[in-house]
Amino acid sequence: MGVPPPTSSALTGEAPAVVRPVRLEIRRRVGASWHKAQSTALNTVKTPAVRQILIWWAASRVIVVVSAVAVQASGWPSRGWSPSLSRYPLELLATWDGRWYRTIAHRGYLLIPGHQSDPAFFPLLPILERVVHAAGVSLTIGGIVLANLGFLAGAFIFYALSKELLPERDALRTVIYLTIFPVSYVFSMAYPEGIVLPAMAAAALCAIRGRWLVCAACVFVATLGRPEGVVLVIPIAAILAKKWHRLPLADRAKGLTAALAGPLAILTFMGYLWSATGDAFAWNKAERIWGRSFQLRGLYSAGVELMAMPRHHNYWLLRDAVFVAVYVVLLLVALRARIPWYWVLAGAVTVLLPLWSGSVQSDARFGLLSFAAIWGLAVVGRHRAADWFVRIAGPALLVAAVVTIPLRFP
Amino acid sequence: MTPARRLSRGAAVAGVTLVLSVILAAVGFGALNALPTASRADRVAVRVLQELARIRRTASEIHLAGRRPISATCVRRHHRELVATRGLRITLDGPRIVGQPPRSEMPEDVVVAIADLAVCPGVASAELVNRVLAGPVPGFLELRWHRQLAYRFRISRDRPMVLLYVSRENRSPIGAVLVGRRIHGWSIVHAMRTRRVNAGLSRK
Repeated sequence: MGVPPPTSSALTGEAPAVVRPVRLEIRRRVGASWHKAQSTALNTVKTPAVRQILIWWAASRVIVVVSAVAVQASGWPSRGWSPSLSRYPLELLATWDGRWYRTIAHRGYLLIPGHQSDPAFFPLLPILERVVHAAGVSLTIGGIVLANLGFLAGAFIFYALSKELLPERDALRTVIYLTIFPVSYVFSMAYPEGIVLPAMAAAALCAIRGRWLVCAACVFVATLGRPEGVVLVIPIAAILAKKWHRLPLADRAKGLTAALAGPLAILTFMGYLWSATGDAFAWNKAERIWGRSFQLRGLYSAGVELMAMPRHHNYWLLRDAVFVAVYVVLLLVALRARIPWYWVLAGAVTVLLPLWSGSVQSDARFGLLSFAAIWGLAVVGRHRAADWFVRIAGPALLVAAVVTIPLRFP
Repeated sequence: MTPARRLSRGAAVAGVTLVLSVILAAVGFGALNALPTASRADRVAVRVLQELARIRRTASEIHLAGRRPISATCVRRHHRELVATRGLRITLDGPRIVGQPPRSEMPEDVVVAIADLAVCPGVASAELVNRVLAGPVPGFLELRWHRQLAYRFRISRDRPMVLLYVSRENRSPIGAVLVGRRIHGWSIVHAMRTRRVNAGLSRK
């Protein structure tokens, strides 16, 4: 691990490099066993980094929650949507897709031909919402709490993962930037991204460390949360291929299982839909009604949709398109910073593949799980001015993003 | 390494991978079964919605309390529906009335009642979808309606209460009941799927 170079900057929010004598004493006493334990994911997160991550997570979540409460209390932008704070606390954070996940948890899957229906949404969050609901917590609050706590766990695991690929300062900056990223408000909504992030990061970390069975389980869980989990097949297969000749037979089989766990989760979900709705392709059929179906001319359709934006006054598409452009630039930065090509490819697939479904909509959110793009942002943040900019503009845009939620389908 | 040995090692890896994948999928499938399954009412409602999507026209006999029976037809015209009775035409866009006769000719609640009891497929479909999305469909019953085996759904959210009766045999609408504050009535409905049948009936 080594002692980090002496630097301390409140501005950059990095760990003070002072190693306390007490800690050194503990190291001497515990000796070899301490170093062995150091290799675990938990211990790779140093105490100052833990504090930094906790502070940034808490501050960013306070920003999101306070903004959401303020908007709900004010009844902005229309008086038609004003659920009371006492009866429906944090309703703004449970709106949009959150309602559909709640419906699944409440009623199960039901494909309604010709109408928007819930098989378009993946089952992990509703399952967990039901578990929390069994403890007496409402589905709405349960979903929001799960997302926020999942994000906290995800921040730590993502930090440990980032440290495997980047210097420690960049790794910490990666997590800080993720907490204040403008679209990161979805990590506080009753959306699955908050619980998929730790699963995906843990899967990647386990693949790097050769813990293939845990990796397989994490990929499976992540894919049951969001289809982006399937993209993990790219880095896991690449890492497995690198290590293949050195691995014993049992580990090869475990590694293959990990690489195939994403597609396997999709097949399991399809099997469940077949048993629940009588149609294994209910997901695809529901997605088509939601305006998403993968096709060769999907990118063209997405472009046409973008061009027609002023006519339909759907300026949210512009926001998503801007974020797609930003993600692509950040992925190029990550590639230039020698992030392994398979991470950049996985990130590019996460961001660009949804465009082939014929719409740009929600791509800003999908890109949050493009790890390489966030690493690219951390690399950009090595420049002091860029770091300042992200740390000031990030929270401001985060507030703006939360405040404008009711403008679209409140 | 001999080819035979390489083959056996490959087969061993594939076999263990398969076993692990099956275990993973089984555990995952078990976890997915923690989700509830849709109620029978919801599943029947979905099949009724499928049937409503195929229907192009309905002919109904509407009985409103204190009035003579009214014959009405509902046809689809350019994403809208038109309810026609003697001396009355109502244009519907989804569940909303967008064109109706002058108020002097007929009270508004009667117009609304006729629009509901004519059971236009678009109106019934829009209302039923709203009930399905809101949760278990209310008022679901299996019963007999005018000597036919039928399902009953409540398709309105609040007053006037509209009950839709569909055939258990083919899930097409066979009647409706309306209970309002000042008006109530019922109707017998014949639903038709194709233009050809419609054309034949319209000449009668």
